[in-house]
Amino acid sequence: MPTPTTTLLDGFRRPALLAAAAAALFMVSTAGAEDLVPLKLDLPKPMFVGTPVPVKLPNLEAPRAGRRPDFMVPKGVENLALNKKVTSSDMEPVLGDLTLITDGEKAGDEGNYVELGKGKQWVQIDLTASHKLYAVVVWHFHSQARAYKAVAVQVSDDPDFSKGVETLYNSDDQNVLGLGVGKDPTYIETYEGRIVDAKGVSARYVRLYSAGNTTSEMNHYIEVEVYGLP
Amino acid sequence: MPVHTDEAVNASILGSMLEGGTYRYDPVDRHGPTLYYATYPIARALGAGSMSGLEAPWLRLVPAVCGAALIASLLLFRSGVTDAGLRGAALWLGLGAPFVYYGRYWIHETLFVLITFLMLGSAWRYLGTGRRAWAVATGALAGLLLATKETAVLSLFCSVLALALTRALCPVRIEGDRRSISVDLALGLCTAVLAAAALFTSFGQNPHGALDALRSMGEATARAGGQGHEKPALAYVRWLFIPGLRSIPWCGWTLSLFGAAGAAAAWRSRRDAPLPVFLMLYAFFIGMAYSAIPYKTPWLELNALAPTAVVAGIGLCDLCGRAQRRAGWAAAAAIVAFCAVLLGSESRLLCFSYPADPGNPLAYSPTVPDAERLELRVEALLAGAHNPGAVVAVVGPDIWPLPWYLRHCPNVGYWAELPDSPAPAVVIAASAESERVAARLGTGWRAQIFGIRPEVLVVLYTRSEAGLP
Repeated sequence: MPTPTTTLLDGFRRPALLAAAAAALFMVSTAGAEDLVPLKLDLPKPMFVGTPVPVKLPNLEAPRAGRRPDFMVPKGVENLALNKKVTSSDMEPVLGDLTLITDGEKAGDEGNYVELGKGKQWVQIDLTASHKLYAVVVWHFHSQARAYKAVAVQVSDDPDFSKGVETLYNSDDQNVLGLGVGKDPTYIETYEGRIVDAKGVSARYVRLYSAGNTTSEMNHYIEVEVYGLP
Repeated sequence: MPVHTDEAVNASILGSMLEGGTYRYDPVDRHGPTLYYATYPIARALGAGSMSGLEAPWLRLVPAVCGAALIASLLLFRSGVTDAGLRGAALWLGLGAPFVYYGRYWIHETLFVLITFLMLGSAWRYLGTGRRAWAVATGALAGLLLATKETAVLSLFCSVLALALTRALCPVRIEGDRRSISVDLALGLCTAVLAAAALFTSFGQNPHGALDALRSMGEATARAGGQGHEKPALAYVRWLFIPGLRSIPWCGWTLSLFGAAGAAAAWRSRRDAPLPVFLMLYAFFIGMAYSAIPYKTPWLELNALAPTAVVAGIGLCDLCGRAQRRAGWAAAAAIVAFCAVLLGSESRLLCFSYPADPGNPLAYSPTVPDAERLELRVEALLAGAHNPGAVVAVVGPDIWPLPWYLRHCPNVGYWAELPDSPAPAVVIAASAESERVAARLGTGWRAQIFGIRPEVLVVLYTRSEAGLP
């Protein structure tokens, strides 16, 4: 959970400030009162060197100037997904293989991503045990400006995702996935990946959905990292 | 296969003609009128009265027929190349990925290559027979070539250069006396000028078209400098030989292998058969010419690949003949079948499985499938609006090929900035304009992002309180 900072709250009025402070205290206490430190990500070098598409929308994230703000996580979190087993709705990918998703390599070069078939597809990571999770970071494809359709992230202790499912992110505003209409923003892929707040939820399995992208009907993953306490 | 931006622009021009407008040649960044005149009767016969009445399969009938006619045009070369060699050439022209791919693209290139082949074949027939009709046909086809694309100048120059060099290397004899040949050449030249002038002036309805055609050479020269399409000299080599994400370039590799064998066979028999030498030289010169100019698009390579296919057909025939003599006819059949499988597998992947994929070397700035999703979305929105007058406003400069995909919308307009009136029910903004458009629209609008070309995004804005789903 990101820690509110005084800079962020400067423009708030007093009631909002008090409410936010209370919410922050509550969330910190539920996280186990650990010391919070900025989440450190090992980022690949940017390949998309052209002018970023200047889109600013109510439900599409505005392009950000400067570095991404720190995403605060409890001290001691690790990438629990590294080298973990990945399954998918498409077990015979068009390009690459599913092990690429958790191999730790995030460069956008050819041969470093897995391409799943057309339309709605998912990948699922088995963390081998239930952990408290704080962030899921996904890199779909970042050598070209594109946005993925109907991106959703769910966690569960059930490998079939039929019970105890929590949705962490859902940008499926047409309910293509059938998970319900999503309100989260569509975003343009960059080398930084997308950080999804896992809010300290406990789960063993992480499932990520998409349904094509603005360039093709295929689905891609370069890497997925799941940060939690071991 | 989604409709390419160039196809959409062509459809817009044809749509104006169908609505009763006179075609007027535009020398700035436009090609000649031949493609539109070739497609117009088909569109009329199928009942189209405007762009909204056009469908992509109808338009793509023209390049498909041109691709088939390109194979049939090989018959013009029968007296200079063996039948077996021509059948070998048909293998590449019929199955080679670039020929199949651009045989489905309603742009000028396949028609241009067909006319080039018909012109070269007619010229060959004239050289062999001395009949005046072939000289006139050659002239008429040269005029059509000029009225198809400005690059006709390159084709004509390279064909004359190749003919001159062939005459220096091989015994090419023209039937007829010097006076008769001069008259034939003059007639051919006059026919070329008349044919080109008739088309550029829209058959006399736009007299300025002829002058515009001359002026277009300046524009074409500037365009040859690149205008955003600059590529290194070896770009065609790269497209033809380096394996891509989706396929191994079997067409390029087999054309090179059998083309080299064909060139060797042509050189050995140059005293008896000068035509293969001419085609080999023409392929070389036109390939060099297109490589030398900075402006490069993958469909331009057809100009060198088509004559190379004939030389490769000769090479395939030669190698199959050797294989048959040593190991029987089954060995020769196996070589042909192997080539067909390789070519067919590449074409299946590039032309049918991944026609608009970024990893397809033949897909040059293609329209992405998301554009079709946008079309369906807009049509669903308008159907749900229960308002036949609902306006779709498209804002921004970089919005092609949307005019094609929105051609069925009755009230669609294109603006540089969001208009105050009429009030739109749906807004599509080019990404560069989206920030301004969002600010003008204010709250209460929902935005969705769609791709129209690789890395070119547009934003669809809809207003839920207007009753749209």
